[in-house]
Amino acid sequence: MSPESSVTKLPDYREQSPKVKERFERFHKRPVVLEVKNLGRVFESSNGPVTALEDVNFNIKRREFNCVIGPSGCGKSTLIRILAGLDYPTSGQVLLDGKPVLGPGADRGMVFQGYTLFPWLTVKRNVMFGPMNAGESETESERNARFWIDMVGLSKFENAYPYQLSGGMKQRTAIARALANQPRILLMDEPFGALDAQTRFQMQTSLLEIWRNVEVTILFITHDLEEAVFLSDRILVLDAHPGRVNEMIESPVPRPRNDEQCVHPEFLATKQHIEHLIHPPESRSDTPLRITRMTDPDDTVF
Amino acid sequence: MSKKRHTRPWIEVGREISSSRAGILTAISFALPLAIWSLVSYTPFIWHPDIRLELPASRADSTSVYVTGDHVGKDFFAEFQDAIRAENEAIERGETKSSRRSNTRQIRQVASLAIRQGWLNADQERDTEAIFYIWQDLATGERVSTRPVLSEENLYLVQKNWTLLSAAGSEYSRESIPSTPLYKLVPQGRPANPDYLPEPLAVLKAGINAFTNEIDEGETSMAERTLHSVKIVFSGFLVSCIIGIPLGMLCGSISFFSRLIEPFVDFFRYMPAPTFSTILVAILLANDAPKIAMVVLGTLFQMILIIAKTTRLLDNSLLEAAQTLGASQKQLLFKVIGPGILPNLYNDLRILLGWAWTWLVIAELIGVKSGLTEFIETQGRWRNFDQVYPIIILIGLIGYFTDQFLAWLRRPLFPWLGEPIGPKSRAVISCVAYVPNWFKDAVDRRQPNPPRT
Ligand SMILES: Nc1ncnc2c1ncn2[C@@H]1O[C@H](COP(=O)(O)OP(=O)(O)OP(=O)(O)O)[C@@H](O)[C@H]1O
Ligand SMILES: [Mg+2]
Repeated sequence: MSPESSVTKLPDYREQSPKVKERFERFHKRPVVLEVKNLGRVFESSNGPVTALEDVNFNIKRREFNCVIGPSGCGKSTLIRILAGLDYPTSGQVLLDGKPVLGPGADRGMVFQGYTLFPWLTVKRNVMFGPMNAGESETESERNARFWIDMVGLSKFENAYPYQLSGGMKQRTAIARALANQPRILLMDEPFGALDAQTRFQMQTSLLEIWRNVEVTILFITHDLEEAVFLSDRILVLDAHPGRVNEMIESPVPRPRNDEQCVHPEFLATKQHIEHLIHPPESRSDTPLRITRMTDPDDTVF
Repeated sequence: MSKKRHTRPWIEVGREISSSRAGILTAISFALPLAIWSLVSYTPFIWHPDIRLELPASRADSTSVYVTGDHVGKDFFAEFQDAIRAENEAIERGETKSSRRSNTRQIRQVASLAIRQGWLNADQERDTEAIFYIWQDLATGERVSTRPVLSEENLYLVQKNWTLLSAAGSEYSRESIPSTPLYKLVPQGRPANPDYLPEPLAVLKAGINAFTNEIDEGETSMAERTLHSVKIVFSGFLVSCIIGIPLGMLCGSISFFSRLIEPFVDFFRYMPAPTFSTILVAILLANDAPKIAMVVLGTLFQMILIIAKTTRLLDNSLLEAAQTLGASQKQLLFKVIGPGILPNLYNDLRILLGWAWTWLVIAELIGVKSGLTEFIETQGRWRNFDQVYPIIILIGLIGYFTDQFLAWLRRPLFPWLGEPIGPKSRAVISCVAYVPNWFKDAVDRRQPNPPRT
């Protein structure tokens, strides 16, 4: 199946059904939570300056689920670290609810790809970490922690230590821990990147469910196209070297999402469009590999 | 019935050996040096360059007098024997002059032998009368020495001497000491290793004696010495920890402190701590203070650097995660870095405690010598090496077992590492848990019995 032939069959990714169109009309009326203005980041390295991000502009609406996607090394992690306040921009600025971001804070929760649970704390204590540090009482934060742990489905493991959890369970805990702080925006840097396909799909479904029921805005980095289309309202596509905004795509896929939608034309069209943006067809090399035959002549496997 | 089991080879790159095998190897690791030591000590043809004298020896042409137990070289010993034989021949030829006094000295030749055999008491070394009868018994065969077994040559000399001694009658009197010269017994001895390598059994015996011997009023018992040494090491280590742990953690986590403190610490640790001993005495005067300060000086600076490094090794993403959860600077220090480095810190402290022990000897030599070191020093100076080794080994054992104990305690202390708790750890835990009960029982036992109803 060549990409060209499928393109002819698929609708344009910008064609939104009336339902979706109406949803985006409401969507655009929502207030802006996060605003990124002319953001740039230049790293000083031994081989001279490296421009990781250049003139990045976009904004995130309240309760938006936004996915950031782009080729490896385009500055996705740099971007999200700047949003979290863990790194700083060399130009431009980030505004959260109109106020500039100057450092890390509890109003921006973050879930990392590597499991960053505190190994010396149980699941419950991990979730209580933020609220307790903010001065919440032990009983209060314990009750809240139970609530969040229950939401991510880990009630049976609340007293387990991180080493006793699987990768998916660790990431569920990390999500609960970030949500317990009730952040304005939840930043996620390839959170499901290390999980197997099955677990990853379960996690995506749970995350959507949580997002639907909790007052939270999500900015989600991924390099998985299907994941991006499946999860998001809008998809921010970045270019590499230097990292720039290529396009902010409004997903035509209706909500609520389910796994059947993965084969719907609008889903495939969006996915294919992003594919083209990230790996332009002209850049693909189609010359076959030159491999010398090293098996016996009659030892054929196809 | 043979059950086929999959057994792994003993030697395999990069694979942990089973715990039962590890136990066997640990035992061998200790048994092997002990076996080598025993082999060298108890196999006469391995090494044994010396002769340990079993009879006293002195020569007319030399002022040095050797007593039983002294070590001499093999060549020197042979030469010595020949010289004595030559002296005896000269007596035979009547070329030697003599007096009652010198003969009295010759009579005492067998005193040490008699004492060793238990025929005389230790204080009868100069009891000429008693020794006189020993000669008689040896000559007549009434008594036969087993330690040492007298050589043919010497038995013959004993009889010759007895003939001379009994010339005036076989009853002892002052006059029974003849003025004609007595023959000298030819030195006897066994091959032995140098005194600095005593035998395992001798060391064991000396060790047991050191702790069980009655001690005189005013002297320090070995237990007190041990306790004193332990006190010096642990006090020094504790002071180091109180200063070093916070400083090390600050240096490891905050660049400001790292740049402010570490350069000087790095420089200071190259100055040998013992060179400060006189200064420490001048500042802190005698007693234990300068000794403890020496241990502190020896461990503190390394401690700061090691703990700073351990702190730096903490996964930075944990700090970032904590920051995104709103942790303040202070909370990062106390809620993340503190608990985060604790298991590694614990291991560092175990190593550093070992270092503190190495400073003990130098510390105890400062000012007024004290503790186990004083004992080692004095006994070593007298070449009583069999007394020295037990103490050296004791220090080793205390250090080793403290460390092992702490190693076993690691798992129950840090359950979140997910390390399995082995049977040894469990034993240690139950011991530790038992101690408070033991105290409680001890207190209960001291209460007067409740009245019977
Ligand atoms: N500390 C740094 N010093 C120098 N260059 C850096 C630094 N961090 C990132 N970069 C550069 O910035 C660019 C963007 O890096 P970043 O990690 O943000 O990419 P990414 O999109 O997250 O990639 P991936 O998909 O592989 O995670 C890369 O070219 C990288 O080499
Ligand atoms: Mg990245």
